[in-house]
Amino acid sequence: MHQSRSRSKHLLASLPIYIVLIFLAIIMTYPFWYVLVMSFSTQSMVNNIGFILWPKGFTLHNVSYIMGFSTFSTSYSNTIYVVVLGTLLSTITTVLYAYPLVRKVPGTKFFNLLALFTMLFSGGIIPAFLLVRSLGLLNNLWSLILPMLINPFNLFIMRNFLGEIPESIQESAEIDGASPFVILFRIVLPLSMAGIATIALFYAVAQWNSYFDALIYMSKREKWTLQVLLREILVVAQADGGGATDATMNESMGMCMRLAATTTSIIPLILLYPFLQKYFVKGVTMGAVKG
Amino acid sequence: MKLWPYYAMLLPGLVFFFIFKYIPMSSLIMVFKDFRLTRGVWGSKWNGIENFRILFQSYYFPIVLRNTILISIYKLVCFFPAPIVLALLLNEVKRSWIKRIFQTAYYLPRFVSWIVISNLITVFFAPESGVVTGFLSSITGKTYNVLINPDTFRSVIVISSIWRGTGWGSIIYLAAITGIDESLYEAAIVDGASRFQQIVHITVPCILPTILTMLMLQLGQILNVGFEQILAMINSVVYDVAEVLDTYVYTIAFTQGKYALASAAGLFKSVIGLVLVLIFNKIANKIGREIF
Repeated sequence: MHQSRSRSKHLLASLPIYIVLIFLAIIMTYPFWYVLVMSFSTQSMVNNIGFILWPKGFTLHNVSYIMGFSTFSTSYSNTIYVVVLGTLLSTITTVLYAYPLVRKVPGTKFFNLLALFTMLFSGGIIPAFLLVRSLGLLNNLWSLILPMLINPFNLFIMRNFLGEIPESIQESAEIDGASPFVILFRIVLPLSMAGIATIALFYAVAQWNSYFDALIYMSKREKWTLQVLLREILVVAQADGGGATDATMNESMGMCMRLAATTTSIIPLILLYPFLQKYFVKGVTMGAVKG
Repeated sequence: MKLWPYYAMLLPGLVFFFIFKYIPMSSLIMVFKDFRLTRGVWGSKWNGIENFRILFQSYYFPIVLRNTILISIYKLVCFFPAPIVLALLLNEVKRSWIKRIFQTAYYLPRFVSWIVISNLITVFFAPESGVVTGFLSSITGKTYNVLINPDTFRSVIVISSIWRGTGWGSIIYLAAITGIDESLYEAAIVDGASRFQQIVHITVPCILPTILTMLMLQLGQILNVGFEQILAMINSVVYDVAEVLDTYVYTIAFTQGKYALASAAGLFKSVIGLVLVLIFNKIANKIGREIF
């Protein structure tokens, strides 16, 4: 008797909490669903329609039109090039830099400080721009990869992951005569795949979403990345009344078309996200709690 | 132990930091020069603190500074508590699989770019056809315009930050909550404490060190108000309320070509930012040590 009373009291008390949580979940996910739905709808059928749960007049026209643009396909391939290559190089250099610090070589404090300081102070965008310019990397996709090769925050995360590997295994391999490279690649890396996956994902997402560097380093359209093109379609065009600015765009872009472009940008994320989410969470707790 | 392989591993990173981080820092001396792009940093003539004089006396600089600090405080007051509240709410969900579903939903906004978010705002809050504002219009008959409106723009910035970052920010507080000793709750239940009382008297005090630490870190970042966010949403109508230090640097450099002036503004922000971060990090460390 007493137990069922307190249990129903418990449920009743929980109800407002659940309502709030569900409401928040809807707010944070519905916009994405809206984008997807609108991308596959016919513009004329959805004007001024407000909330929408399913495509109206299902069509692939918007998406195929967007994907047909030469500017679109070049910016998409530029982005993929930068994301893949950048993530690969960033992950490798970060791991290589982190490992000696975990092994506490002479000068570790200095090397740590060297990396940490770049988080606290930087030259700013103009010196960065001048450097890229003098390296001849303007309008070159490498300008999107090299200047952000190592992110100190990811470095710390990697250091924490590597620090969890028992020293005894590494030391006994050392006694057996293995070189540090062998120890790193044969023993440590296989054990720290979770950490590597985590920082690789952080780098990949950052690369995928970045737009500012491409904005200032690329003056040629064919070197644009996806976010820069999106910015022109979604933000710039919106500001001047929705007129299309690309000379090759014949049809002036309606909302559905614009959102179809957005979909191409968020689709990889949404598809991969549920599987990769746990890596991001672990990475943040690793980096922040111990950092 | 053999050392040289370790230094070989460090080498790529060292070269990277040197070329792409520390050399640009040295270029900052251009703020003391009459910088010409054709002459470069080293070829331009010195002009002392002239650039700073021009900067501090310029019409826009005080406005930009004011915007930076106001938006930062606005964000601090509104955004900072949100992840904490969310963590406390989520903690009340007892079934872990339900919790995880909620969390999956809450982390999602963190992973899209500000370009996309800016567009989402435009779509949902467009004057006539926006999902939300169009609906409001049909009820009240007034049109609402949020992005091209100086009165509402700052709120848009803050609210969109909350939308994007609350879920992600709650991770660290949830982690802190899981560290709380169960027996404290059990004792409280025996004493007849309600769930709300348990939160107020046990959960919050136990995660207070985490909260204070995060607060200190946030204060250190007070001049960083979300450059990519504001740049993605700013327009000429809201310039006077929205331009912050970072976007100001971008504006005068890339639309007006005043590289030295922009670098001076950038240096100003970097130096003050560094001082703030060092002060508040030190306080955060002291808090951490004093509690334990």
